[in-house]
Amino acid sequence: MNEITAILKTIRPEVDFSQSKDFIGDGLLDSFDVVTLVSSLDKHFGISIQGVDIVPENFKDLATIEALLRKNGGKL
Amino acid sequence: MKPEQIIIIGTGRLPCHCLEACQGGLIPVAACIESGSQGFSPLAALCRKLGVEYKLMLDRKTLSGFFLSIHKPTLVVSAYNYFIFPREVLAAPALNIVNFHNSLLPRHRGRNAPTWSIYEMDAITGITWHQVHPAVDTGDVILQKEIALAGNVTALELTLQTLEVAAAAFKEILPSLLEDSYACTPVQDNGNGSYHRSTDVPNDGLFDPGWNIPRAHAFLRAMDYGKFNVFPAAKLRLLGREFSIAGYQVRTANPGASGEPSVEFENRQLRLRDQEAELLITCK
Repeated sequence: MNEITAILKTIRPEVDFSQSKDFIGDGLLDSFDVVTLVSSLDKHFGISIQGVDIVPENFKDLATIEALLRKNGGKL
Repeated sequence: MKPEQIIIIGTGRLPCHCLEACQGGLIPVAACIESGSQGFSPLAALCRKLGVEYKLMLDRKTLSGFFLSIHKPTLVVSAYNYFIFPREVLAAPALNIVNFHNSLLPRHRGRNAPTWSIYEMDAITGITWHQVHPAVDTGDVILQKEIALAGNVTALELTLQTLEVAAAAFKEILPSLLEDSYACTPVQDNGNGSYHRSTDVPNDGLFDPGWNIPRAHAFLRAMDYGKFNVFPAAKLRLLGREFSIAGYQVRTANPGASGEPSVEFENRQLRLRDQEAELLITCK
Protein backbone atom coordinates (compact mmCIF):
# COMPACT_ATOMS: atom_id res chain seq x y z
CA MET A 1 0.00 0.00 0.00
CA ASN A 2 2.78 2.41 0.86
CA GLU A 3 4.23 2.15 -2.62
CA ILE A 4 0.91 3.13 -4.20
CA THR A 5 0.44 6.00 -1.76
CA ALA A 6 3.95 7.24 -2.51
CA ILE A 7 3.23 7.21 -6.25
CA LEU A 8 -0.08 9.00 -5.73
CA LYS A 9 1.72 11.67 -3.72
CA THR A 10 4.11 12.34 -6.59
CA ILE A 11 1.12 13.00 -8.85
CA ARG A 12 -0.99 15.08 -6.43
CA PRO A 13 1.36 16.14 -3.63
CA GLU A 14 -1.18 18.55 -2.19
CA VAL A 15 -3.79 15.83 -1.60
CA ASP A 16 -4.15 13.69 1.52
CA PHE A 17 -5.45 10.47 0.00
CA SER A 18 -5.91 8.87 3.42
CA GLN A 19 -8.87 11.20 4.02
CA SER A 20 -10.86 9.89 1.06
CA LYS A 21 -12.77 6.69 0.46
CA ASP A 22 -13.53 7.58 -3.15
CA PHE A 23 -10.67 9.27 -5.02
CA ILE A 24 -12.76 9.73 -8.16
CA GLY A 25 -16.05 10.76 -6.56
CA ASP A 26 -14.20 13.23 -4.36
CA GLY A 27 -12.51 14.70 -7.42
CA LEU A 28 -8.97 13.92 -6.26
CA LEU A 29 -7.95 12.33 -9.57
CA ASP A 30 -8.89 13.46 -13.05
CA SER A 31 -8.27 11.54 -16.28
CA PHE A 32 -4.78 13.03 -16.71
CA ASP A 33 -3.87 12.04 -13.16
CA VAL A 34 -5.10 8.50 -13.76
CA VAL A 35 -3.14 8.07 -16.99
CA THR A 36 -0.04 9.46 -15.26
CA LEU A 37 -0.67 7.08 -12.35
CA VAL A 38 -0.98 4.11 -14.71
CA SER A 39 2.33 4.99 -16.39
CA SER A 40 4.01 5.26 -12.99
CA LEU A 41 2.51 1.96 -11.79
CA ASP A 42 3.58 0.22 -15.02
CA LYS A 43 7.12 1.45 -14.58
CA HIS A 44 7.38 0.83 -10.85
CA PHE A 45 5.91 -2.67 -10.89
CA GLY A 46 7.18 -3.74 -14.33
CA ILE A 47 3.69 -4.42 -15.67
CA SER A 48 1.43 -3.10 -18.39
CA ILE A 49 -2.06 -2.12 -17.27
CA GLN A 50 -4.43 -2.42 -20.21
CA GLY A 51 -6.33 0.59 -21.52
CA VAL A 52 -9.67 -1.19 -20.96
CA ASP A 53 -8.89 -1.24 -17.23
CA ILE A 54 -8.58 2.55 -17.06
CA VAL A 55 -12.06 3.06 -15.67
CA PRO A 56 -13.13 4.98 -12.56
CA GLU A 57 -14.04 1.91 -10.48
CA ASN A 58 -10.43 0.67 -10.62
CA PHE A 59 -9.12 3.89 -9.09
CA LYS A 60 -11.70 4.45 -6.39
CA ASP A 61 -9.34 3.82 -3.49
CA LEU A 62 -6.10 2.09 -2.53
CA ALA A 63 -7.79 -1.32 -2.37
CA THR A 64 -9.14 -1.14 -5.93
CA ILE A 65 -5.79 0.10 -7.25
CA GLU A 66 -4.08 -2.76 -5.43
CA ALA A 67 -6.55 -5.24 -6.97
CA LEU A 68 -5.83 -3.79 -10.41
CA LEU A 69 -2.11 -4.22 -9.85
CA ARG A 70 -2.50 -7.84 -8.77
CA LYS A 71 -4.73 -8.57 -11.76
CA ASN A 72 -1.96 -7.30 -14.03
CA GLY A 73 0.75 -9.29 -12.30
CA GLY A 74 2.09 -6.56 -10.01
CA LYS A 75 3.81 -7.82 -6.86
CA LEU A 76 3.12 -5.71 -3.79
CA MET B 1 -20.67 45.11 -20.56
CA LYS B 2 -19.78 44.00 -17.04
CA PRO B 3 -20.97 40.46 -16.33
CA GLU B 4 -23.55 39.77 -13.65
CA GLN B 5 -22.76 36.08 -13.53
CA ILE B 6 -20.12 33.58 -14.65
CA ILE B 7 -20.60 30.24 -16.35
CA ILE B 8 -17.66 27.86 -16.68
CA ILE B 9 -17.64 25.14 -19.32
CA GLY B 10 -14.96 22.49 -19.75
CA THR B 11 -13.64 19.25 -18.41
CA GLY B 12 -10.84 18.10 -16.12
CA ARG B 13 -8.94 20.20 -13.65
CA LEU B 14 -8.65 23.52 -15.52
CA PRO B 15 -12.33 24.47 -15.06
CA CYS B 16 -11.85 23.59 -11.37
CA HIS B 17 -9.00 26.08 -11.11
CA CYS B 18 -11.15 28.68 -12.87
CA LEU B 19 -14.03 28.02 -10.48
CA GLU B 20 -11.75 28.35 -7.47
CA ALA B 21 -10.36 31.62 -8.83
CA CYS B 22 -13.89 33.00 -9.18
CA GLN B 23 -14.94 32.01 -5.67
CA GLY B 24 -15.30 34.78 -3.12
CA GLY B 25 -15.77 37.47 -5.73
CA LEU B 26 -18.80 39.72 -6.09
CA ILE B 27 -19.93 38.05 -9.29
CA PRO B 28 -21.36 34.58 -8.74
CA VAL B 29 -20.65 31.44 -10.72
CA ALA B 30 -24.14 30.48 -11.85
CA ALA B 31 -23.17 27.04 -13.17
CA CYS B 32 -20.37 24.80 -14.31
CA ILE B 33 -20.95 22.71 -17.37
CA GLU B 34 -19.00 19.60 -18.24
CA SER B 35 -19.03 19.20 -22.00
CA GLY B 36 -17.03 15.97 -22.12
CA SER B 37 -16.41 13.28 -19.56
CA GLN B 38 -14.66 9.95 -19.26
CA GLY B 39 -16.04 9.24 -15.81
CA PHE B 40 -13.31 11.20 -14.06
CA SER B 41 -14.87 14.48 -13.05
CA PRO B 42 -13.16 16.62 -10.45
CA LEU B 43 -15.44 19.47 -11.57
CA ALA B 44 -18.58 17.66 -10.36
CA ALA B 45 -16.96 17.02 -6.98
CA LEU B 46 -15.78 20.61 -6.59
CA CYS B 47 -19.22 21.98 -7.53
CA ARG B 48 -20.80 19.72 -4.91
CA LYS B 49 -18.33 20.97 -2.32
CA LEU B 50 -18.85 24.64 -3.16
CA GLY B 51 -22.61 24.44 -3.73
CA VAL B 52 -22.33 25.50 -7.38
CA GLU B 53 -24.77 24.08 -9.90
CA TYR B 54 -23.16 21.39 -12.09
CA LYS B 55 -24.53 20.22 -15.42
CA LEU B 56 -23.25 17.43 -17.62
CA MET B 57 -24.19 18.35 -21.20
CA LEU B 58 -22.70 16.27 -23.98
CA ASP B 59 -25.14 17.14 -26.72
CA ARG B 60 -24.49 20.14 -28.97
CA LYS B 61 -28.16 21.00 -29.32
CA THR B 62 -28.71 20.98 -25.56
CA LEU B 63 -25.63 23.12 -25.04
CA SER B 64 -26.69 25.63 -27.67
CA GLY B 65 -30.19 25.80 -26.22
CA PHE B 66 -28.78 26.38 -22.75
CA PHE B 67 -26.58 29.27 -23.82
CA LEU B 68 -29.32 30.83 -25.95
CA SER B 69 -31.63 30.85 -22.92
CA ILE B 70 -29.29 33.20 -21.01
CA HIS B 71 -30.33 36.85 -21.02
CA LYS B 72 -28.33 38.19 -18.07
CA PRO B 73 -24.86 39.61 -18.91
CA THR B 74 -22.64 36.58 -18.53
CA LEU B 75 -18.95 35.83 -18.71
CA VAL B 76 -18.59 32.35 -20.21
CA VAL B 77 -15.22 30.77 -19.42
CA SER B 78 -14.42 27.97 -21.84
CA ALA B 79 -11.67 25.99 -20.12
CA TYR B 80 -10.57 22.77 -21.83
CA ASN B 81 -13.87 22.55 -23.62
CA TYR B 82 -14.51 20.73 -26.89
CA PHE B 83 -17.93 22.27 -27.59
CA ILE B 84 -17.62 24.61 -30.56
CA PHE B 85 -19.91 27.57 -29.96
CA PRO B 86 -22.21 28.03 -32.96
CA ARG B 87 -22.66 31.43 -34.57
CA GLU B 88 -26.05 32.08 -32.99
CA VAL B 89 -24.61 31.56 -29.51
CA LEU B 90 -21.65 33.81 -30.27
CA ALA B 91 -24.08 36.48 -31.49
CA ALA B 92 -26.09 36.41 -28.25
CA PRO B 93 -25.69 39.92 -26.79
CA ALA B 94 -25.66 38.76 -23.17
CA LEU B 95 -22.67 36.47 -23.59
CA ASN B 96 -18.98 37.31 -23.48
CA ILE B 97 -17.14 34.06 -24.21
CA VAL B 98 -13.43 33.58 -23.56
CA ASN B 99 -11.57 30.39 -24.35
CA PHE B 100 -8.32 28.67 -23.42
CA HIS B 101 -6.22 27.24 -26.22
CA ASN B 102 -3.10 25.16 -25.63
CA SER B 103 -0.73 26.86 -28.05
CA LEU B 104 0.47 30.32 -28.95
CA LEU B 105 -2.13 31.27 -31.53
CA PRO B 106 -2.10 31.41 -34.48
CA ARG B 107 0.25 28.42 -34.24
CA HIS B 108 -1.60 25.12 -34.04
CA ARG B 109 -5.23 26.15 -34.04
CA GLY B 110 -7.66 23.28 -33.64
CA ARG B 111 -7.06 19.96 -31.90
CA ASN B 112 -4.09 18.33 -30.19
CA ALA B 113 -1.90 21.43 -30.32
CA PRO B 114 0.76 19.97 -27.96
CA THR B 115 1.27 17.13 -30.43
CA TRP B 116 1.90 19.54 -33.28
CA SER B 117 4.17 21.82 -31.25
CA ILE B 118 6.39 18.82 -30.49
CA TYR B 119 6.17 17.23 -33.93
CA GLU B 120 7.07 20.48 -35.67
CA MET B 121 9.92 20.91 -33.16
CA ASP B 122 8.87 24.39 -32.07
CA ALA B 123 11.38 25.95 -29.68
CA ILE B 124 8.62 27.79 -27.82
CA THR B 125 4.97 26.95 -27.33
CA GLY B 126 2.49 28.18 -24.77
CA ILE B 127 -1.11 29.02 -24.07
CA THR B 128 -3.62 31.59 -25.21
CA TRP B 129 -6.73 33.01 -23.56
CA HIS B 130 -8.77 34.61 -26.31
CA GLN B 131 -12.20 35.86 -27.28
CA VAL B 132 -14.26 33.30 -29.12
CA HIS B 133 -15.00 34.08 -32.75
CA PRO B 134 -16.96 31.98 -35.25
CA ALA B 135 -13.82 30.55 -36.87
CA VAL B 136 -12.09 28.17 -34.45
CA ASP B 137 -9.25 29.69 -32.41
CA THR B 138 -9.14 32.95 -34.33
CA GLY B 139 -10.50 35.32 -31.70
CA ASP B 140 -8.62 38.31 -30.37
CA VAL B 141 -5.94 37.47 -27.84
CA ILE B 142 -6.43 38.45 -24.21
CA LEU B 143 -3.26 36.90 -22.81
CA GLN B 144 -0.55 34.54 -23.99
CA LYS B 145 2.12 32.80 -21.93
CA GLU B 146 5.12 31.05 -23.37
CA ILE B 147 6.47 27.62 -22.47
CA ALA B 148 9.97 26.58 -23.56
CA LEU B 149 9.75 23.17 -25.19
CA ALA B 150 12.10 20.69 -23.56
CA GLY B 151 13.71 18.16 -25.91
CA ASN B 152 12.27 15.20 -24.06
CA VAL B 153 8.73 16.34 -23.26
CA THR B 154 5.84 14.12 -24.39
CA ALA B 155 2.47 15.30 -25.64
CA LEU B 156 0.86 14.23 -22.37
CA GLU B 157 3.42 16.09 -20.27
CA LEU B 158 3.12 19.21 -22.39
CA THR B 159 -0.67 19.09 -22.16
CA LEU B 160 -0.36 19.07 -18.37
CA GLN B 161 2.10 21.96 -18.46
CA THR B 162 -0.25 24.04 -20.59
CA LEU B 163 -3.11 23.44 -18.14
CA GLU B 164 -1.00 24.64 -15.21
CA VAL B 165 0.11 27.74 -17.07
CA ALA B 166 -3.46 28.40 -18.21
CA ALA B 167 -4.77 28.27 -14.64
CA ALA B 168 -2.22 30.86 -13.49
CA ALA B 169 -2.93 33.04 -16.52
CA PHE B 170 -6.67 32.92 -15.84
CA LYS B 171 -6.13 34.33 -12.35
CA GLU B 172 -4.18 37.15 -13.97
CA ILE B 173 -6.92 38.12 -16.41
CA LEU B 174 -9.97 37.49 -14.22
CA PRO B 175 -10.18 40.95 -12.56
CA SER B 176 -10.15 42.71 -15.93
CA LEU B 177 -12.68 40.24 -17.38
CA LEU B 178 -15.04 41.00 -14.50
CA GLU B 179 -14.50 44.75 -14.88
CA ASP B 180 -14.80 44.50 -18.65
CA SER B 181 -11.60 46.49 -18.81
CA TYR B 182 -9.28 44.13 -20.65
CA ALA B 183 -7.52 44.85 -23.92
CA CYS B 184 -7.53 42.43 -26.84
CA THR B 185 -5.06 42.03 -29.65
CA PRO B 186 -6.07 40.63 -33.02
CA VAL B 187 -4.24 37.42 -33.86
CA GLN B 188 -1.31 38.22 -36.11
CA ASP B 189 -0.86 35.47 -38.66
CA ASN B 190 2.51 36.14 -40.21
CA GLY B 191 2.43 32.98 -42.21
CA ASN B 192 3.17 30.81 -39.19
CA GLY B 193 -0.44 29.93 -38.43
CA SER B 194 -1.75 26.40 -38.83
CA TYR B 195 -4.92 24.43 -38.18
CA HIS B 196 -5.20 20.78 -37.21
CA ARG B 197 -8.33 18.66 -37.26
CA SER B 198 -8.99 15.97 -34.67
CA THR B 199 -8.41 13.38 -37.37
CA ASP B 200 -4.99 14.76 -38.35
CA VAL B 201 -2.09 12.58 -37.22
CA PRO B 202 1.62 13.43 -37.57
CA ASN B 203 2.93 11.81 -40.77
CA ASP B 204 -0.31 9.82 -40.87
CA GLY B 205 0.96 7.89 -37.85
CA LEU B 206 3.80 6.30 -39.79
CA PHE B 207 7.33 6.25 -38.39
CA ASP B 208 10.01 6.87 -41.00
CA PRO B 209 13.23 4.91 -40.29
CA GLY B 210 15.08 7.42 -42.45
CA TRP B 211 14.53 10.21 -39.96
CA ASN B 212 17.44 11.42 -37.88
CA ILE B 213 17.16 10.85 -34.14
CA PRO B 214 15.87 14.31 -33.11
CA ARG B 215 13.17 14.13 -35.81
CA ALA B 216 12.27 10.52 -34.94
CA HIS B 217 12.17 11.26 -31.21
CA ALA B 218 9.96 14.30 -31.79
CA PHE B 219 7.50 12.16 -33.76
CA LEU B 220 7.33 9.53 -30.99
CA ARG B 221 6.92 12.13 -28.25
CA ALA B 222 4.27 13.96 -30.26
CA MET B 223 2.23 10.75 -30.44
CA ASP B 224 2.77 9.92 -26.76
CA TYR B 225 -0.28 10.52 -24.57
CA GLY B 226 0.52 7.61 -22.29
CA LYS B 227 -2.46 5.29 -22.35
CA PHE B 228 -4.89 7.86 -23.66
CA ASN B 229 -6.04 6.71 -27.08
CA VAL B 230 -5.66 10.12 -28.68
CA PHE B 231 -4.10 8.51 -31.76
CA PRO B 232 -3.85 4.95 -32.98
CA ALA B 233 -0.46 3.37 -32.16
CA ALA B 234 2.29 4.64 -34.43
CA LYS B 235 3.21 2.24 -37.24
CA LEU B 236 6.46 1.17 -38.77
CA ARG B 237 6.67 -0.45 -42.21
CA LEU B 238 9.80 -2.49 -42.70
CA LEU B 239 10.80 -5.61 -44.60
CA GLY B 240 7.41 -5.76 -46.26
CA ARG B 241 5.58 -5.88 -42.92
CA GLU B 242 3.77 -3.40 -40.74
CA PHE B 243 4.52 -3.21 -37.02
CA SER B 244 2.94 -1.23 -34.19
CA ILE B 245 5.30 0.78 -32.03
CA ALA B 246 4.89 -0.31 -28.41
CA GLY B 247 7.57 1.78 -26.74
CA TYR B 248 10.68 3.83 -27.19
CA GLN B 249 13.70 4.93 -25.27
CA VAL B 250 16.44 7.42 -26.08
CA ARG B 251 19.93 7.19 -24.66
CA THR B 252 22.28 10.12 -24.98
CA ALA B 253 25.42 8.43 -23.66
CA ASN B 254 27.32 8.71 -26.90
CA PRO B 255 26.81 5.05 -27.89
CA GLY B 256 27.71 5.41 -31.54
CA ALA B 257 30.57 7.83 -31.21
CA SER B 258 32.89 6.18 -33.64
CA GLY B 259 30.46 5.36 -36.42
CA GLU B 260 28.20 6.89 -39.01
CA PRO B 261 24.46 7.15 -38.30
CA SER B 262 23.01 3.66 -38.47
CA VAL B 263 19.69 1.84 -38.43
CA GLU B 264 19.31 -1.78 -37.28
CA PHE B 265 16.23 -3.94 -36.89
CA GLU B 266 16.45 -7.12 -34.89
CA ASN B 267 14.02 -9.04 -32.65
CA ARG B 268 11.32 -6.46 -33.30
CA GLN B 269 13.55 -3.71 -32.02
CA LEU B 270 14.58 -0.82 -34.22
CA ARG B 271 17.80 0.88 -33.19
CA LEU B 272 18.80 4.27 -34.60
CA ARG B 273 22.25 5.54 -33.73
CA ASP B 274 24.20 8.66 -34.41
CA GLN B 275 27.25 10.20 -32.80
CA GLU B 276 25.28 11.61 -29.89
CA ALA B 277 22.42 9.28 -29.14
CA GLU B 278 20.69 5.98 -29.58
CA LEU B 279 16.95 5.57 -30.05
CA LEU B 280 15.48 2.15 -29.28
CA ILE B 281 12.01 1.44 -30.57
CA THR B 282 10.12 -1.67 -29.51
CA CYS B 283 7.63 -3.03 -32.03
CA LYS B 284 4.91 -5.64 -31.89
